[in-house]
Amino acid sequence: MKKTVVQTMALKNLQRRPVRSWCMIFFVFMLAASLFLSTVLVDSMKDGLEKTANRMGADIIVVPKEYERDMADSLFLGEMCSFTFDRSWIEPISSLEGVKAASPQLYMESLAASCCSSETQLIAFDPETDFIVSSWLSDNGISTPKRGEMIIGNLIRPEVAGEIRFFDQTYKVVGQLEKTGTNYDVCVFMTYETAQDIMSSPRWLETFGSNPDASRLVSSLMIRTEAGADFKTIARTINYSLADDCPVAAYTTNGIMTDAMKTVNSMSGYSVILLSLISILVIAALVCIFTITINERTREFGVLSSLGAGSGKLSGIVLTEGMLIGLAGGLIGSLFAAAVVLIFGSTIVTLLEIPKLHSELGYLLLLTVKCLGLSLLVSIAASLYSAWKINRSHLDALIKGEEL
Amino acid sequence: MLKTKELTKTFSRQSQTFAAVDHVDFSINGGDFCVITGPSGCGKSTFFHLICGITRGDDGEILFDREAIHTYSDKQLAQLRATKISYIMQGDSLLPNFTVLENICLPHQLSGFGDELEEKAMELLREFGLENMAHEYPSNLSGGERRRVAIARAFVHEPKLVVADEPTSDLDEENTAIILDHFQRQAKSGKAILVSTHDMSCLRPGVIHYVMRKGVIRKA
Repeated sequence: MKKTVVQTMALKNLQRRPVRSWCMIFFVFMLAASLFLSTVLVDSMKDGLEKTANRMGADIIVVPKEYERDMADSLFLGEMCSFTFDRSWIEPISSLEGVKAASPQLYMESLAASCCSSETQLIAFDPETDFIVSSWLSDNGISTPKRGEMIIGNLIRPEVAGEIRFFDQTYKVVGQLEKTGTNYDVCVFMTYETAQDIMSSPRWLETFGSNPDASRLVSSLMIRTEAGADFKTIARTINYSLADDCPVAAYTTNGIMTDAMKTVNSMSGYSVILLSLISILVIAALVCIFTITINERTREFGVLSSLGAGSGKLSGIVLTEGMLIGLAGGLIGSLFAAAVVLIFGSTIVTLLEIPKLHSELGYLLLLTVKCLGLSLLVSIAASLYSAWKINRSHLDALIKGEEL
Repeated sequence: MLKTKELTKTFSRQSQTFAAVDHVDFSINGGDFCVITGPSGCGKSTFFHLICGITRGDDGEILFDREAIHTYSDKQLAQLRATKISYIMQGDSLLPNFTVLENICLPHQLSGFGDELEEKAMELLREFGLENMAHEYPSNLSGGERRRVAIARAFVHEPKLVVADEPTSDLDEENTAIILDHFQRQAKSGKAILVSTHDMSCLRPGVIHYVMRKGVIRKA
């Protein structure tokens, strides 16, 4: 496409003043890169929480008292947790009115497994009552594991294909889950029978000093309520009316997530405020640079005007310069931020303790378009003032080089 | 071609009003080469700004090709400057970010002229001995060369009237002669040339000489 005279002149003006142009581009670059990176971070955190909440599939989770914080950490951050209560509490809870299904899960910490450089979360579930893990398995086309069999999360890479070792014993891997971007990617699922085999192993005894009865231990009881039942009322009943010495606490999944979600939402709010401030600062800086520059160029505009260029064309040159700066700064800023996400994604995930950083190409492209849009808007807004000043100036004042 | 009747422009300075251009009756026709001399501050530049539509008069008329251009809108005046009246301002008026060739063509292309100007621009540069400078930037040119480029720019789109405000100031004899020769050739080809100067070497045979004092123009 052939450039118009206005575009040619604007581009040439920028090219011939590289220091000024790059300074202005730098301001827009900062804005675009900040917007890009903060959006990726906030979106990734929100997405991690939402995925976890959706994957839990339970309306209420019952855990040993005082363990809510561990529960949330375990679910969101992928931290290890190991807490239990006795199986005898399942019956009174599952017989409560409004409880449709209740299924226990047992969380165990592994020693460094052959697959992994760090500890792995081992999760035992009861296939007969389970309504969570089974549905993931079914989604992944994997059948329920039998005794001695395990299902591994997406990030687990066993040294020997189809086998995995825990506490010096080898187990058969019968399936691997799709990537979730949550701590489930580093979990290993098995039935209570397999969990018992692990807990009965000599290495377990050596490590923990006893071989407990796995069938008696429950880390969390997942509860699904009847349609229309008020799960908050059921949770209250468990917490206050079940028994005086009740060692468990019930939390609605919503409640467990609330604090984390609040933190993410406030971060999102802070990032909006920060970005608004950055935008205002960038606009102010660009307005200053544009105004100073335009004042130095009044005679130049006077020459053009004396040769017949209308004020619309002169404003067009200024606005096009602003637009080109916005485009350049926005594009460089977005590409830089995208490169940071792609290259340093795993480091950021580790540093900020978030499950996963958004790095899908489509998402990054869409965000680039958004950042470009904002950069353009900010740059054009900044150059509008100069364009307006030129528009309302008298031609003889421009020719004399008077300050606008 | 251009005629002013009772053209007046007043300014205020230190609470006093004075007429920079005082009831001026003036006319110039195609083929005329008019030179206005007069002391600094006598109103020459203001008069030029008035007839080029750069500033507006307080009173009087300006007729160009029998049209009352003092009633024109800013847009119409810009169009007039873009096509029929060319103004060469005092001092250096080249755009620093553009090459010699771009300086001559781009301002006019901004007003709607096409690429055909480039050929004419090269012709003018050859005439001024600047053809090798076409792609140089103004910072690489001498004062005389820059002035010649500004003059080439004023003529490239074939205007009817060229108004030059002190085009030979600060120039040596050789450059002055090049510019005046060009003006004379253009006047002979039917254009009207109006020049203000302090340089008496401009008063060549065939030149119509006017003197301006305190806003009033009289034939010398």
